[in-house]
Amino acid sequence: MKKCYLDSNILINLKNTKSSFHKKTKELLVSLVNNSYNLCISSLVLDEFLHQFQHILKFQKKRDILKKVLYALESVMSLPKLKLVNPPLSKKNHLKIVGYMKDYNLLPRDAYHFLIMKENKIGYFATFDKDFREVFREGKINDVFSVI
Amino acid sequence: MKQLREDFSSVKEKLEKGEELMLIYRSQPLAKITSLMEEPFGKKAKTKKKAKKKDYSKIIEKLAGGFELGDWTPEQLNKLLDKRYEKMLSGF
Repeated sequence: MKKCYLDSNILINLKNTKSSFHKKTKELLVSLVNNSYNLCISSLVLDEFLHQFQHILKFQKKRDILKKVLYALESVMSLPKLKLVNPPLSKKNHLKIVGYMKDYNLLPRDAYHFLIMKENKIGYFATFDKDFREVFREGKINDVFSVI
Repeated sequence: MKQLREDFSSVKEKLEKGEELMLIYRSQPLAKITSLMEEPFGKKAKTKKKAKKKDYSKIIEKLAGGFELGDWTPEQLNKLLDKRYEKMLSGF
């Protein structure tokens, strides 16, 4: 079964109906799940999602922020074929991050996402982030928008 | 007739595939044997499998949305994360 790692911006755009990426995100997820892909997220993705979501709600002066955050998180967790993946447990593998930062011009956080994908043998990545251009160009991970 | 007696499994297999067989007795056609199933086994099984394939669009539609948060670009969302790191490192 193919696996696709979801970036936090995918989750934000899924929940936000005012986003210009909302429809595209929904269509992508439907297509992935109907084509037997597993959707993968890590605690790093969830941390980013929670931080961004909470920040936007605060920025918009919404009430009951944590209640809304929990509701959004519950719906993300209910996505069909969603799997949680972990970073590697081997100390040696964590040293690869600096190499990834250098080779693909990634920020530490993005290099960490890349490491998680590599270690979990995830072949596809769904993101609207342009920082992964080098990774996609080198063919290390496939941009799922180019295949779906 | 001989085949029916000696190799019933191949006869059964052909019937399951939807083939029509002729029963020959003493070199003369005696009867036609056809499957009682409306569709051949394989075809029916495939149709059943196809029906089982779930369409997740309604589930995802239900889980999507719920918030009107304005139009944030991927770059703006990234900046929110960068700001957090800057805040953490501002003490240095």
